Amino acid sequence: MRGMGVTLAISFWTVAGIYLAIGLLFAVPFVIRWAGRLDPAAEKGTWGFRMAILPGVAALWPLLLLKMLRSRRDQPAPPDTGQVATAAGLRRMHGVAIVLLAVIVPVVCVGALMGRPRERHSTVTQLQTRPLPQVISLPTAWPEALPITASLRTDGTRSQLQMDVTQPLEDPVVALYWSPGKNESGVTKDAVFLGSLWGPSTLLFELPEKARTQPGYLTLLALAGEQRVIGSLPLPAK
Amino acid sequence: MSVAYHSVGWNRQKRLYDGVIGGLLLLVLLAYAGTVFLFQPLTTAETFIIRFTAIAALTLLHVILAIGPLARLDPRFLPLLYNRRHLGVTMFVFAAIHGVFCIIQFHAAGDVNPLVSVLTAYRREYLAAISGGESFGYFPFEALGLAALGIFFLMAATSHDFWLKNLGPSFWKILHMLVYLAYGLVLAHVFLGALQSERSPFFPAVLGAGFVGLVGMHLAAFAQERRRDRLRQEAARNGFVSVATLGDLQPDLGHVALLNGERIALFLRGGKVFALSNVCRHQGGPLGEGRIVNGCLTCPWHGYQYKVEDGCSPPPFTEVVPTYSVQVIGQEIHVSSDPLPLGTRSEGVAAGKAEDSRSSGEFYIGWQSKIPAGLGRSVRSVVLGLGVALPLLFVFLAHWQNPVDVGAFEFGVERDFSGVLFESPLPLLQADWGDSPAGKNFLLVGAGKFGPPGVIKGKNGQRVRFKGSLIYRNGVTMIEMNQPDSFEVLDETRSAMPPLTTLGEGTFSGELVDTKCFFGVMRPATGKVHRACAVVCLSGGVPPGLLVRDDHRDAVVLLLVGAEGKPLDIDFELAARVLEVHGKLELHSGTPVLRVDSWRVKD
Repeated sequence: MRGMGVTLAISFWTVAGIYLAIGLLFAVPFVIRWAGRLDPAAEKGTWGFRMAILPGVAALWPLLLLKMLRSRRDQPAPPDTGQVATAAGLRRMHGVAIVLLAVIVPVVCVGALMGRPRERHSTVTQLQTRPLPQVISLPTAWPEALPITASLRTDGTRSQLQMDVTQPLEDPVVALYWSPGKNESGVTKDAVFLGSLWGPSTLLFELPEKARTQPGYLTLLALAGEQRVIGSLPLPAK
Repeated sequence: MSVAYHSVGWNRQKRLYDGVIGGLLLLVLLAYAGTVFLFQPLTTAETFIIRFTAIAALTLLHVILAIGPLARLDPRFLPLLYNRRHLGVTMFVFAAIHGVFCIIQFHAAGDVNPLVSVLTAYRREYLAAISGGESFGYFPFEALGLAALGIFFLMAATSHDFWLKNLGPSFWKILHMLVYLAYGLVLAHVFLGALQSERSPFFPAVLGAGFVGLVGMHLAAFAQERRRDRLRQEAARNGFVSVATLGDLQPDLGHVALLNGERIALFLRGGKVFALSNVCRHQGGPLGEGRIVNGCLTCPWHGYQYKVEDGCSPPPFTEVVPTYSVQVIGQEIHVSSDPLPLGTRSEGVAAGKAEDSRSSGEFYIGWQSKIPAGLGRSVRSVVLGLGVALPLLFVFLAHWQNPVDVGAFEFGVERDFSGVLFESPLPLLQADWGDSPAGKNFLLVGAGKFGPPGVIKGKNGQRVRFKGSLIYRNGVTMIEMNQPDSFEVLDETRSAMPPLTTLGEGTFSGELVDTKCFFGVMRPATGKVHRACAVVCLSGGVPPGLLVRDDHRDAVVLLLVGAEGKPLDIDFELAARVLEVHGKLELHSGTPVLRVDSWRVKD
């Protein structure tokens, strides 16, 4: 069940749409023909002029319709003799508008600034693999000239792979796998998915226990679209 | 002042004026685009358009509002007033482009009519923010901008002289005075919208300076006029009021006097004194600040002309201003309290004063082909100043804007995907590599602001294939399933969900975001400006996420699901608010998922 606010908004737009649709229906004959009846200068108006006033006619059609009906009944619209009478009034209105603006706007704007939410985000440490202290192999570049260097870290019981990606990768989705054995043909059924790569970044991946005891190789697989191996690197057992 | 209307009554000054507007806008566009290209290269085209048009419209609005009081304070600014309506229409065009792009970007393609969404996306805050139940900063800012745009539309649509004549100058003036309401609405729209997220103090400082400057100029102009009006206010005697002395008048130069609280224009022409209304029939310009040109008194604003004898415009024009009876008693000029019937000819009253001094001051008339040399120099100085200041302003604004988010959306790029589909706890595809599972998860969403299409229902654990477009951010990937017809089941055998890693139970605070926008579709994808979009996305079935930080303060999204693995039951209007969520954190093939036990609004 939608709330009253939505019902109100739908009603508002429905009424506005009907009003403007009637306005457009009125505006077409008005700009072509009827405008000249109201204002002699409009009779010979150019098409550019007619197009220029069309949106306004669609928006203010009740006023113009009233004016037309008055002129048809030979009831001339009240002359705007009020010009002089209201000039001071208009100036006063102008002044009041500026004073109201000067008072209300600062209150609203300062209130808005003071009410700005402060950033309160938790820091989630569990998601981040903490680097192990000891680097046990020097950074190794991939033979495929990828902007990535790989190095191994350990604390004696676990091993981590550190990947330094120096530039954004050409492929949008790159997955990293460790596979046992020396067959560097790609991702096999016993491959272990280590995670995703993106750049520029420094990323740490936990290596499986078996990577410490048996040789394997790392594979970078571009997953989006034409899936293909974009890099492969042997990883001897330590 | 035309016998037949044209769309624009072009003349040399108007062409020059429009050329200058176009040139300045091109300069600021280049300055802004260059800075964005250098410092924020990830900005998308639509974000660029939304930001640039907003800043351009706001700048133009300040210039437009400054011209009136400047021209009242110093006549050297009058040439800027001559074609101000073109500035106004240009400003409306920029504001309209901003509005349309915002509606498309943040409100369209969801399960709510975009126009309804503009008014209701997070409607709970209307009353809550005003009543103090919530921070005032949460008040929905979109409706304020829409209301201002509506006023700008009315003003632009009625800017032609046809409207001035047929609505009547008083009504037209009141209608166009709504610009002050629109200005207030625009400032509230910006402070409650973009400035809720923009953290640089430069933005409120610039807007505050603009506001104080504008209000100050208006108040100074009022004060100047008030001082002048107070100089002489006499009571009526025998229907006539003493309004000035002969010493106040100079031949062929207007003089503004006060008659029963209203201003009138006095002129000394051919040794005779004439009194007319001070209000030009065109836009209410001050005729008393005009002068006699080619035998007619000429309004300083747009050059409308009237004969001083009867207040009528010279044929074929038909405008008429009221005239008054005049008496000269000694040195004092007395004017009748009431105007003469419109068009009544008056021969004026001899002043007994020789026309020995003619003013050498310059007078600007827009329809003349050349601007007087001194005024021309002043205008060139103003334009040059704007030509330096505005591009610099746009450079600073572009430079200090919040950087856009880093995700990517391969809009229009179609890719093939295959793998095992899982419906719960979140819809995702575990991609294949040949016959092997690749292990990589792709979250699934639908086109627009919707969750995945219905074709995936009941296919949990089955191998499927379909086409879609990639969304990705820092290793997290998502597929927009924008071609449901391409979906096919490759193997109906159901695979089990791969094992997940339980990380433990905890309480986390962060912004409630819709993951589709955050992972790459929108820039920006967080904060107040994006709130309505996030509400519509979550309402449409896009998986919700809690934006937290990792050790490096980089953004990480925890995908939120209900405790039973069902979709989270949450009020979508809380999007972009900071929530405190308690639950169990799990890693699903590297994707962090928070099974929510309880939550509360924290901010």
